[in-house]
Amino acid sequence: MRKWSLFSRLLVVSIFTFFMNGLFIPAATAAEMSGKEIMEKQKKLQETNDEKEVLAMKLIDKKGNAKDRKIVRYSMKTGAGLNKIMMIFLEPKDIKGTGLLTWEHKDGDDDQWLYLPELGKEKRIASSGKKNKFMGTDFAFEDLRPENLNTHKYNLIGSEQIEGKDCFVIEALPVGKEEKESGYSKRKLWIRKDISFTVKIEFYDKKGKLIKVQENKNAKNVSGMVWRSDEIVMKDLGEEHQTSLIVQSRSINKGMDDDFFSLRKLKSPE
Amino acid sequence: MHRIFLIFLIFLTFFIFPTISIYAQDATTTKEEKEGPADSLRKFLDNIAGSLEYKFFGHFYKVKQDNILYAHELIMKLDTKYNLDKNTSLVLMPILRADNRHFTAGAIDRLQETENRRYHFNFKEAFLVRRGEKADFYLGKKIYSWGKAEGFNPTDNINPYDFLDFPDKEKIGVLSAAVEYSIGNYSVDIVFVPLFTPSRLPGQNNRWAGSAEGEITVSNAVIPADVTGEVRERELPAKTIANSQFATRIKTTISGWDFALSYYHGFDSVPVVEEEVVGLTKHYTPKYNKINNYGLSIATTFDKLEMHAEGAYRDTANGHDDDFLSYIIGGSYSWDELNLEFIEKISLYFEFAGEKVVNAKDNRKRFSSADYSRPLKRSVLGSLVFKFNEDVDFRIGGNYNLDEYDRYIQPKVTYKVSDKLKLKAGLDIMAGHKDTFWGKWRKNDRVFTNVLWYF
Repeated sequence: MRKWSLFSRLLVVSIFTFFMNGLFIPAATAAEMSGKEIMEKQKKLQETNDEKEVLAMKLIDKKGNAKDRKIVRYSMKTGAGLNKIMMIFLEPKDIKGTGLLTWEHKDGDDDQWLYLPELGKEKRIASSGKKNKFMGTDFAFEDLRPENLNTHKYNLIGSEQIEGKDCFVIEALPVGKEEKESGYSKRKLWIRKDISFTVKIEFYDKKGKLIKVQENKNAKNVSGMVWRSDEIVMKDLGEEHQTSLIVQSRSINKGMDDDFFSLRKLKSPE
Repeated sequence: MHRIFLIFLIFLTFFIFPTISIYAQDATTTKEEKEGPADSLRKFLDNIAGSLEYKFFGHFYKVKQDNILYAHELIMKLDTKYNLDKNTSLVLMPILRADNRHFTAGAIDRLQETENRRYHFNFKEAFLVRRGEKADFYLGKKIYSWGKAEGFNPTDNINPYDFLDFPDKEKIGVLSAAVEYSIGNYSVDIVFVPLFTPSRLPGQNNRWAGSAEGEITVSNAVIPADVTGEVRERELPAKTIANSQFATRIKTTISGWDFALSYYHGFDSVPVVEEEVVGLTKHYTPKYNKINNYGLSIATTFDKLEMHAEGAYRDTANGHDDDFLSYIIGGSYSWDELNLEFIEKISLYFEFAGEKVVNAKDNRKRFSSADYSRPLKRSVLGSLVFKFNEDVDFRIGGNYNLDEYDRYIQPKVTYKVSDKLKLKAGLDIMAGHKDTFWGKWRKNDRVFTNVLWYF
């Protein structure tokens, strides 16, 4: 039997190690990451200081009738890591100029004001039920808030491919006060492994029945490691109703400050 | 001079600014993308927002002042905004209106709006706004809305009202210069109004004048039938710097509570009728009181309950009316997780309003028309809204005065046929003794419908 030279043995070991690294190490890393860690990584990578988006919404009922909405949404992260969000309706014309300003608080209720052009003044409003639909769309108020890692428990329940991309499948369970306030018993999130971006969410009602599916399409790298979807489709399976949300324009990290998210700007931001 | 001003405004609205807009669009397009005049005009027209509204009021009774049972009104409003540069805009809101109640006549042709009738052509608002990072500046005709309460705002004194149809009252814009400065959680408003604009009150031939058989009304002050004399023209304050009006407000939010402190120095937009005896004749002259108004308003939320309070101390400078504190306290609550097939949300609004006279003045020679500026002495106000879905809601609202038992109830249905078409229908019901605030209109019960088309 031919004896292998030292060089040959080292070469074989190196090649074997190289392939083993390539095949198993990412899987080992993924297996080591918990659901919470995956969500934390996503938050770290995808979070921005401020964003502005102009969004066109199309609401389609089961008969195919369509209604259009258009909003501009501004958001920023404060020094304390909390969100300030301002939304202004651009269409339809009967609600044009209506604005909603939210200041998130770590403890207690958020501050929320509604500006109605008809009244010409802002009104402090109590937070709407999180389960309620936002302006007749298929998005509940809670669906439009950034993911709050403190109010959910995240379990990694598997790996699946969506459109050829490997995804973690995470189960998000509301805990504490959120368990009572949320309209869902759980959500399932599909997060792309390569870019830590959520491409699909399933929503389950309190009885555990699948009620809504959200698909985040056309993911685009918008800045650094930040990815965003240009089209979000939310389907209500029970009501056979769907809302498509098309991003018409977007700007990120333009240096918005606290003063922008004020009652003065709510009346007329730009 | 007035005619030239009117022609200038119409010219600005319909000719100059559309042209600027078209040229501005041309300047931003490349040679390849250059649009024809038709495209530019279409783009400009697409950017004009507005509404056309038809109002119908069907009264159940004829009254001595007015035998019109069926009233019709047509209103067209435009909302145009021309960006002069990145931070400066001209906002023009022309309004065209006509009705069969003789409420409207002519067109606005002056800066000071003092006519007793509405104009066929007017500007609801017309102002220049310069936006900055910390402050916004406004110059022109503008409507301001201060205060936290729903039914009545004691701290909101800058704009007069058009009371020609009381349940359907409207604010009148005032020529003013204003700045709103904000820093962090604080903001300061300063408003200067050089010319006085009175509230528009129902005349003798308007059913909302509300006098009983034999009585006469002067500026809506009811003068008893046994008092006779000569009614003179109202006395408007002279156009002097000393008679200009000023208002300021500081607002902040602390730990979930909104606070606003305000001050207004100017005139009550509703006059008192002063009796003077010259020789053997009595003269009745509507005059406007100079007032100082010191206000405070607060709002907060507790879970789903919103609470607010608003109060103001009014000091009448020339002693022609009482000094008093008016206040209102209330809240709102929504049941929005009903899990019912046919109702999406139920909202309740409730308020209590009162008045405390701090310094009563000698009013023997004056007939007060102050009902309009002091309507709620001890009253409850409220409404209940049933939202069936995004397109249909039913609201029942009203006011009950606890001392005189007079009351007003308005049930109303709103149906949004489409994003461009909205229908409203309801009833205005007033009851009480003829000498009470609502009771004097007890024969004005009516049904109403509105058709509102947005374009």
